[in-house]
Amino acid sequence: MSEIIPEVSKDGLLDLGKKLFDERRVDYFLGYKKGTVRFKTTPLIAGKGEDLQELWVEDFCHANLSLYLKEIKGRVGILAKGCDSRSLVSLIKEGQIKREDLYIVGIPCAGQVDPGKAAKAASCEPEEMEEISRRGQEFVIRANGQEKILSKTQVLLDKCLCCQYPRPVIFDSLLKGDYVAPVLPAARAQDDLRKKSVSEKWAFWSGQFERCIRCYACRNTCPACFCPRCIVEENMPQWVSPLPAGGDNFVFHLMRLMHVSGTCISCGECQRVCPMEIPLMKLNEKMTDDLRELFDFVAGVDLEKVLPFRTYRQEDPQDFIR
Amino acid sequence: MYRKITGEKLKKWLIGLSAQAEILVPAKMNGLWTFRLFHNQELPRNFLNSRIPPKNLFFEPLKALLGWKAADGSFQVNSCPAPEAARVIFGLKPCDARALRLLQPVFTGDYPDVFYAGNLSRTLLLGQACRVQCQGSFCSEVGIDRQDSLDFDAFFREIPGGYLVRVITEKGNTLTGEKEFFEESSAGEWNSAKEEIRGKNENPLFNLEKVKAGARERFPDEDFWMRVSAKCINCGICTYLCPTCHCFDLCDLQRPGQGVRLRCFDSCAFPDFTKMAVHNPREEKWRRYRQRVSHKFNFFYENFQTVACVGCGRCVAHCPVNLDLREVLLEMAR
Amino acid sequence: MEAKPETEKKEKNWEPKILAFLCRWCSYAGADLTGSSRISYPANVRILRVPCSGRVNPLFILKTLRSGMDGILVSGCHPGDCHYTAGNYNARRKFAILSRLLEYVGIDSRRVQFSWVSASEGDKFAKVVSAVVADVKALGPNELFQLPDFGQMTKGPASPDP
Repeated sequence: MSEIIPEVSKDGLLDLGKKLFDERRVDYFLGYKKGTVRFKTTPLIAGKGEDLQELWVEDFCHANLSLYLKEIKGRVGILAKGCDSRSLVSLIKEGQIKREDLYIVGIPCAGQVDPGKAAKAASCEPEEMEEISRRGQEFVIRANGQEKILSKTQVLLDKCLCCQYPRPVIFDSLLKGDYVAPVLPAARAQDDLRKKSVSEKWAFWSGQFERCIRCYACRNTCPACFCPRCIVEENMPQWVSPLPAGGDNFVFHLMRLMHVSGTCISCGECQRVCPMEIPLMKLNEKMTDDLRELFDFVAGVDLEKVLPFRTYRQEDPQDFIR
Repeated sequence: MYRKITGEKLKKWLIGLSAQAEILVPAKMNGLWTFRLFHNQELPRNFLNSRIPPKNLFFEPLKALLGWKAADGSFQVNSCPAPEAARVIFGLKPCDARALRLLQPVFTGDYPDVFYAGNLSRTLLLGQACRVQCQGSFCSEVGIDRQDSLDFDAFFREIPGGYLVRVITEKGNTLTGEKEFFEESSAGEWNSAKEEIRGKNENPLFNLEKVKAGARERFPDEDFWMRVSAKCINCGICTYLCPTCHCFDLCDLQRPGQGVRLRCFDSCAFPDFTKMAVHNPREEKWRRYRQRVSHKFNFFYENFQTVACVGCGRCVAHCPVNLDLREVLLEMAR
Repeated sequence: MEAKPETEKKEKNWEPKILAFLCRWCSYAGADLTGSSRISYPANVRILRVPCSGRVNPLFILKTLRSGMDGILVSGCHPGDCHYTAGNYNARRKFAILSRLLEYVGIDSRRVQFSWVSASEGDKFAKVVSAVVADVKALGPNELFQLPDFGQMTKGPASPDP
């Protein structure tokens, strides 16, 4: 797969990047830059070595940078957290990028902060939070001049609490650091919704689908959604209505989920960027759990394993078929 | 004219009003601030702004425009009626109210939109002064006074125990004239209640005139636009959360013999926005981004003598990749 | 005798509408055999012929539900008998995931059903359709989504409470 080139330090990262550009091994380098609003970073698309001065790999590196590989073709250097590296594997399997075109630098991740979740745990409005910083294994939230100590479980994104792949599964270099899951054991809190009755589930989801405004942020931020022309944009014939009605939103979301099944690695970006805060990850998690249970398939881990809908077994489950 | 009212009396006044009109106030729903029907709930004191702009109460994201029926050889088209029920919105912020005003020439100009016009005329706009700078906002830079806006029927300022009210229009005067709720106040009291905005920028981020000039001069600078829009992912969040965006799409739903034409939002950020039969003039992302910024700070100004941005900051705060319009404007102004 | 109120009459007479996607080589032929064998089966089913059960895109099922159809049946060749070799295997995988997803979202699994019916199984087709119709009848009409009420839409603005 990939040879482990000696670990690089944060300073070494800058040198590595410059070297990649000087040796013309990459045309672009994708990383993170400090954001202009609190608790956010912004993607850095460097076209030359000097641009890397602004590289930032501290907290709030939420974005899954592989989403830019839809647009940026050619040789690309890219920073990848453990979860993001699985997107790269998925995209290579789907034939969207070539392994030799990538220079992957794995970065350690101690879990990403969810500002909304932290605000709720600190009993304040998100706008009132002035600072979120780490203190050992805990977090300090400063809001309205007061400090509150919160645990990792109260502050980190839900997806980070069940991290199974803290170390990138594919890389050319690794940034120096600890590659351990932020919370051990990496067991996920069961989704309560799964135990509820059919009508309770519908009451929940129909309410959520009513709220979707069809901004398509979920689709556009998803590395697995790489179609140059999405089916919702097709209007001759119109397969999916553009109207933000509950029923049409239902069709859009479930159809999108089926389209990304096998490629979705639960990076959680869809849910994080949703302006209406719809819990999309519940749907993704259900689907990925089913793929694992029914077809022994986990996305973005094994470059050789065939995608679930490109193969079959004689013994595939069919208890639901008359 | 200035008045004042206590918190308790305000609630009573709104309850009384709700017999004659729909009263909408800021409230949280599903964890997000929005405007909801008033049911004698406590009015929030730490409300910054709603996630979805109140423009959506005037220019709805899903609106039936007309219906048709064809039966026995006859063909009948019915326009949907213009909204008429009286309505009061309390707690609107100066940026959103300015947005409603600047959209007026769009919807009530050459091609009047009965729905927008109807919504505007049936609604009493009661504003609330800002006390905290919203993340990503730059309202003062585009000329909005957060503490003293004239875009409302009446403007409220929070004081301990209640509110001061500045009456602006005749409608506002009539409605806030009820002596059992409102007391008289003075300009002096109004001015002394002016607060420092918490979290405000020390210096203005940019000069609006320079930004407008930059929008004109930088238009042909392809490299600039390619560079600033590089990380945009073409979703529609900025346009869907914007209080001034008004691009729309039409969609017909039909069954044999009847149909309805609906209007929904559209976004100039979407790749196929300008796709036509033969050609898409804005195929590339940088063209779409250039169009978005130029429309707001150049073309709209040329047509309507005001920039089409109120600096509310929603696009900055919620862009998935933190593409900061403020940075773009600053660079454009250089 | 008192006349029954309109709504009760409507409910008593309600018959579910089922859309059946039948594969051309097996299930459609099987359905044809049911007819030519003069075996009766409920008339609730509307048949849409597809070349293979694997042709059925999950989007078709979602759209059908959205448009108000009460039930859906997808039927294909038995595993191993697909005219296109593996179409039904692919379908089997897709529908395993889709049906679980639909159930998770709160759509009763009895509304969207699947079967393997071969060209010679005329009687099986009749049994499958009867079972599906009975299941959907027990579930009641599809009221999951608001269908455009053309009369209502042209009346006035909806409630402002989002």
